Amino acid sequence: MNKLVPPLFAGRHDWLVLAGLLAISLVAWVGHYYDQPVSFRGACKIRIFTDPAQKLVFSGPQAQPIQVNGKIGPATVEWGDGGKIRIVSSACPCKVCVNMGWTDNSSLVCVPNGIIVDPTAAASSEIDAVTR
Amino acid sequence: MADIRTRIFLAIVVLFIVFVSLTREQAQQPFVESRILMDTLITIRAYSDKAAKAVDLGFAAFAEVEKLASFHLPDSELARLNQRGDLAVESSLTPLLKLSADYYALSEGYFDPSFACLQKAYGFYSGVGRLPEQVELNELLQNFCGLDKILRQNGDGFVLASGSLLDLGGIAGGYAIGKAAQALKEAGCTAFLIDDAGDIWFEGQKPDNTPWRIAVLDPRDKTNLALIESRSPLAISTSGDYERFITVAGVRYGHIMNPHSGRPVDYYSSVTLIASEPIAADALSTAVFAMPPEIAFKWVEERNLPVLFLTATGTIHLSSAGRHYFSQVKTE
Repeated sequence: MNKLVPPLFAGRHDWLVLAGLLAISLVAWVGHYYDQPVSFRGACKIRIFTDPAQKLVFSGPQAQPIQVNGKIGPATVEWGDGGKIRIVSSACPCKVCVNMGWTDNSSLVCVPNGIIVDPTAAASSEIDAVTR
Repeated sequence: MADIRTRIFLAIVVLFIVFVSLTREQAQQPFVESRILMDTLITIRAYSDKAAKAVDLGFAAFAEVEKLASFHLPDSELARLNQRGDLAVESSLTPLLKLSADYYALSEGYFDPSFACLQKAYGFYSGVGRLPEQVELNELLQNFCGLDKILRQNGDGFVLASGSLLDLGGIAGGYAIGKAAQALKEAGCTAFLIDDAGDIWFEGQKPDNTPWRIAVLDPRDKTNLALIESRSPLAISTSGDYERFITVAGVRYGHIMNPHSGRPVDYYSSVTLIASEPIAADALSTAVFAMPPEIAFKWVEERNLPVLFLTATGTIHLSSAGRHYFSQVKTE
């Protein structure tokens, strides 16, 4: 009977095989996790379409407002309660981006200054898009 | 010997399961990309192994429409029409001009791209707001507004009345979404969502078989005003006055105009309209936003349109057809 159905991982070195498989799985899972889009890890992302383009990534809300330099001038971004984010000022003429106010679930954009702010910290992956 | 072979087999099976499950999970994640085009932020989410190429083609479609219909690009077809006052009939802008005329007629003049001269008078293009006198507005309305009066088609093309301006911003986004969706499908992508600054089109089945879920933003506190869930293709568009406005003497004025008075309308904070085509949602949400509530509520009922109104006083009104599409509507 023993010869027909050998016991699994019964030998002395089988634990090494099992540990090796777990290690491979762990490495694959970690690699997969960090390969996901930033939004799934609760980060905030600011993209600036200067030449060359810049991408700033924040792992969470910042205590102080940050200033970035866009295509035509500086812009200031600040975080509020619960990971909300807004563009406080920008060197654009119409201030549409400033008028967008606080958000925690949709992108802010300053077209003239070439800046996109993705407040992904509090974004829900259950929502595919926001109409506004 | 059989013992070793069994163990090797089991090890391969375990590794196979690990990699297959990871690969499967990865295939369920959408490919998401955003770009600034047509003076706004466009985002495309696509589920396909050919998503990257398909999304590229989708953005190319937006860029094409921008070259045609941008009000601000000096060498766009629309800018040439505004500058020279005429456009050859074989221009690629012709279909969009004809569609604009159709929606102008359908909306009884409430969707009117010729309001650009009013918006210019108020300073929307310069960023320096001003309040024109009623005499000035009356002259603009009488001589330079009304798409049926100021844009004529003859054998050679279109002729725009001298001094008039067209801004296709209320329809070009929907038109571009339609073109981008076509490009995505032709590239083999069957499930995708296109978000043109809140004007949305989605179609196809997501890999996890869940419905598409779209939140309607409450402009007052930036929470959710309502939710739209659907597995069928839908076009959703919201018109509001809370992002594009001028401020004069501390008072905010939105960019959508009343076709009779020439003044910015202030009936609603937002109007969200659902349609079966992106261009219809885009143009009609703008038109309905310009209508006073006593006209708008009746107008959308007669056409069985699903619409969610948030009035300027904070009242929420849902059309009869809207009850089938909007859920979790905020209580006032």
